[in-house]
Amino acid sequence: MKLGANTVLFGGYDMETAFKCIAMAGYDGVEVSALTGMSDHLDVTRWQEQADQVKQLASTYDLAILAMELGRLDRDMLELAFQAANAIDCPVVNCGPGGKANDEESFQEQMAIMRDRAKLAEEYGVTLCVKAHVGASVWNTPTTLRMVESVPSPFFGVDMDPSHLWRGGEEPADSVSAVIDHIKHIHIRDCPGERGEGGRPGTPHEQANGRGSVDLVRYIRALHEGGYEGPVDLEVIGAKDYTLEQCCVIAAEARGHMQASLQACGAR
Amino acid sequence: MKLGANSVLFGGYDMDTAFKYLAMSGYDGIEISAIPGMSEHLVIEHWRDAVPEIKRFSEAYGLELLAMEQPFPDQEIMEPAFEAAIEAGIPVINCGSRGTADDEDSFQERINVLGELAEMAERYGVTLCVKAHVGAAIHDTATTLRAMEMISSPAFGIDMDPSHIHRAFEDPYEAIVPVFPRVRHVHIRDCKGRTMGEGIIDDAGNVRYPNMAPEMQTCGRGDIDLVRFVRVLHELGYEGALDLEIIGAKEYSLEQCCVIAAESRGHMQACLQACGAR
Repeated sequence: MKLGANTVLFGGYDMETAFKCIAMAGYDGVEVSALTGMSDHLDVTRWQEQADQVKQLASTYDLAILAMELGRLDRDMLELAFQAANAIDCPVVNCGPGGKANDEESFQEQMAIMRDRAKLAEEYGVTLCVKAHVGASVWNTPTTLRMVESVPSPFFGVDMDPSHLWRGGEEPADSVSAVIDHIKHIHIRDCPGERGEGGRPGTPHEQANGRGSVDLVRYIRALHEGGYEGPVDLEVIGAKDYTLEQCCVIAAEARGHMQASLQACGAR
Repeated sequence: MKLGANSVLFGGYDMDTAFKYLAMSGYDGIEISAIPGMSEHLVIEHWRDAVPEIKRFSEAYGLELLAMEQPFPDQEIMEPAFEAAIEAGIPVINCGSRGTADDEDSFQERINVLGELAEMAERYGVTLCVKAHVGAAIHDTATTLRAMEMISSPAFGIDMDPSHIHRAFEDPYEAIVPVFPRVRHVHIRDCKGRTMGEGIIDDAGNVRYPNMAPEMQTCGRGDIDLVRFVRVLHELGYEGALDLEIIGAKEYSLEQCCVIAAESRGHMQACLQACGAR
């Protein structure tokens, strides 16, 4: 597995600061945030201006570009994101599923959108990944399995995020085996509180691996035993106003936890 | 086990800064550095001025005072260190043995000194811990066991440091077992290779050893199986302090120091979780 971090953690700082600090924390790679409002890193509407800089930063700080997070399934934006991904040699673009939980009409509507976007991804040779997200049309393992059945494309995959499954009432390590064949990206962070509705996103510090309630040591073991070898990208939301030291601490603490988790199961 | 870090990692910054960022990194406690030249945290000569500040920071940042490192096994320096420890409520003082490895006269002389210091520690009601250190009179498991046998004071303990045992060409996971009955403190860090490795000359003409760089001492970055080491400690029933000790970061930026502290804490946390200790 390759360990990376989403630059959105350093959303209050420029892209070079994010790359520099993520490299300092020992990561293998980076997920470039195209989450406007949370960061001013990659703006897909002007990717042509930024692509060279992103590639240069990846080279300077020796970080593989593991993924990009756009967030939305908007067609025009996604097409720009795929173009940008090609330009910066980024293999995966991550999005949320959109729609509403437990609403069949909404689910079907989102599936139609995803089938279309997966075709678009195929045209660009990029993999589109979608994760189960609290409150969205796809929000747990059963809806994730329905999603992969509904969108049968080799350029479409699951971005598994244990924090959202935990808040959806599942034990993430136990959910891995059902979806492992479809996982093409992992978003990782911890989550405080009780499993299910008692769980909450937590402050950025509480999202650092090892600080919350999710058994991430066992989760990583389950991924390794399932044969997963792709990217595991830390995604911490809400740190835009944090000091640089606070952001560095979260990135480094999570990397140390993941490194030990990989070592504990013999993956490193 | 309680996770702490020696403030010497933040040796280029003041004590408030060290407390602040170790607390931010999630540590349970702190080991106060009284290492001259590497930090200006607890300066033993001025301990009466420093102790109220240490107690205030400990309370303000919620960090337990787990230990103090005062490296010199010397009565004149150690006595005020013990006084400072009592006043601050610090239970353990860590020092090295000094002396020369593989020199019997040096070993005997060091044991005599450490024995007297242990008796003094007993009078003060603190624990004096000594660790095996590369090149010193006590430098491996065999010399540690001899020291344990020759110094009977209950105030004398072993500060187990897997990095120095690793560099003594031993496996720390096995070496911990025979010394465990007297282990009262653990210093932890990782280590790349068993020797200093090849040096390089930097722009200022100084020889640097990349393998010994502070970032390479970060838990999880080196060659020691710290997951296994922590598991063995847990299985043996160790419940004391596990203090990160990173040497050489005095010139490092605050971000670099934070990364080393936090990454090591995350690694240790996962080690504890992996063996069921948390």
